[in-house]
Amino acid sequence: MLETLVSIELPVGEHYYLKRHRFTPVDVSADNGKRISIISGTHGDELEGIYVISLLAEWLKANPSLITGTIDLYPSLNSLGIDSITRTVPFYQTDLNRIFPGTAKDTFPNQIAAGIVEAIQGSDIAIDIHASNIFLRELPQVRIASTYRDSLVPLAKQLNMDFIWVHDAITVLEATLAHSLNQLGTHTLVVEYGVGMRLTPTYGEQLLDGLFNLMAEQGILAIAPRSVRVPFYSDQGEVYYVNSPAAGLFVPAMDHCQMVVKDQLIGHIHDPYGVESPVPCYTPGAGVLFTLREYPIVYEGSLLARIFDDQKGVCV
Amino acid sequence: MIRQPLVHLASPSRDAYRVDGFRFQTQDKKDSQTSVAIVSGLNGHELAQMHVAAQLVNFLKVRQEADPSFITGDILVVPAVNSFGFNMGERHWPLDKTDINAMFPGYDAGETTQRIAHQLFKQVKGFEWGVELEDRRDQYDCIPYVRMIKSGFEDAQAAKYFGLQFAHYRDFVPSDAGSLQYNWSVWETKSYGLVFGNKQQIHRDSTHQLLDALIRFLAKVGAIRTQIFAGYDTNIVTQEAITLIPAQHAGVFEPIQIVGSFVQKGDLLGKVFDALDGSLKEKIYAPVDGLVTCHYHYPLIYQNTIAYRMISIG
Ligand SMILES: [Zn+2]
Repeated sequence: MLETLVSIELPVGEHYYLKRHRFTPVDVSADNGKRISIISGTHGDELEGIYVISLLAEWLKANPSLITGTIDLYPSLNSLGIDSITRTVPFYQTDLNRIFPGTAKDTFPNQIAAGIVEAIQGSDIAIDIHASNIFLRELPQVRIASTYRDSLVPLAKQLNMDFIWVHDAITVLEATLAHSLNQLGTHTLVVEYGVGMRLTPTYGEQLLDGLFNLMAEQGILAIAPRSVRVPFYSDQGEVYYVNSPAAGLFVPAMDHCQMVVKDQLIGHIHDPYGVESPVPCYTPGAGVLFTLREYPIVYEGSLLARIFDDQKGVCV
Repeated sequence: MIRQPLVHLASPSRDAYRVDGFRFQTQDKKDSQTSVAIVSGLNGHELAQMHVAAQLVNFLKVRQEADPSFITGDILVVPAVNSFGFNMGERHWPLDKTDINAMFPGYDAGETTQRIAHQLFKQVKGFEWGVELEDRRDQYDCIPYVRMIKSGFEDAQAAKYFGLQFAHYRDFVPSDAGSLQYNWSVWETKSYGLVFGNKQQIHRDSTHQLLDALIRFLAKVGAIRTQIFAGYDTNIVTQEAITLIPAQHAGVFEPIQIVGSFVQKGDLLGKVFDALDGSLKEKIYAPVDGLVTCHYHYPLIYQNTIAYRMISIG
């Protein structure tokens, strides 16, 4: 059932609608009472989640008798942004994922945020799907603030992702949707993979398998659990960053998400005028390259890659 | 006056990125030696802020040249941090759209804007006083005001030195964590935000008003030796004194009361018209007596958006 939860009048003959597609058991007696919300499109330039949600909706429509809980799909929270390649909420240029929990009588982005929290709260589990941005390509991963490590890591392991990254709780991230929902008692996992403005269908299908598995394990779907990948886990090693040592054009010399050894060439930074020779950049240690820069123009400091390992070194 | 390079960064194609500061220091050991850093234009839309800071540089320079004893402390003025943004009408860092004013205290091995914040913060920390000139990030026209964030290191009484009509004294919110004003206070600089101006515009009157406020502040803390007219006896206002008045409908917004007006409960503040058929959809009335501090200033308004802000005393 497609529902409209929030309606905000825009100035010129249009409304913003917060919509969700809700699936409930055909046979009410089969309902185990659990509710999961699957969310994407907080950032308007991230499309990966929309694909997964549309695939899941197709499957649920075809298999209504296998539904044993409430499944809520929210593919396009920042709908004006999604339809216009705008990461932020258009006109306000506000990052929607930095203003939660929002307030009902305030700016348009704040009203959207408040409406989202109101709609989703009460869910047992929420999966907030992000797709990096246009700059970086990400391996399928779950990001968890350390505060919620104990409750969320077991769920994350059911999601068929490659990497579980438990990071420190940072003050600015208290304004994210995931933080607000976790505070309200909804176990919320932030999933991140692919790259902004593009689709990586194989990653989407990988997450879809993970969602099936999670919902099977949680009794929300009456299907057998899927076999899922065993993710590598940030507590058993270290994440380190490779930032660009120079300004110019980054040309990668390796593929994303491969195992690398120490001192392997990641790529070169080219001087557009060719006055300076290309600056090589090497892996600081062995591990898995789970983030790789996609957008070529860089300044000093632009992130080129992230590697997960227990060794540490420097990029020269 | 010394022009000091504070930040330098190479570009892929365009000119190098530079941030310069202007330093004025007394040579007389008997002077107060108080130190003030004034930073402006952390965002590329803050034209009025940059202009006020630049006018202050010019004022200090002319006065110091005329009278070397004019400067009695140590003053650093940084008119434009995000010069790349200014030169292309972008609020944020033009490549990755990150906000420099969310990156403090910075990180020398981090992302580009973290490095910029790090280089800048190294130069502007350790001052006794810090003043950040800022616009409102949203679409409001407001009376210029002083913003103080509760951090345990603010000096509320000295907020009155600017002589503006009011100072907004508010709680810390998570989005303050990376701001220059907040990080100054963490590093024990008494810091203020001066918030004024309309987005991407410069108004002559408010330039003079804010320039006066900065000169007044510099004189009162003992950084310069000058006579200046007294300003307002600033009201320090907390959240409880503020009333938010939303528009119930979307459409074309016509403000009736301008900022700075004293209104009574029931006075008409503004109107909302249907954007297409022109009919009057809503009249917005003052729910309390008080001072109009801000109104929404873009012609199109979304439903439930705050149209007016007022403060009431007592
Ligand atoms: Zn995102």
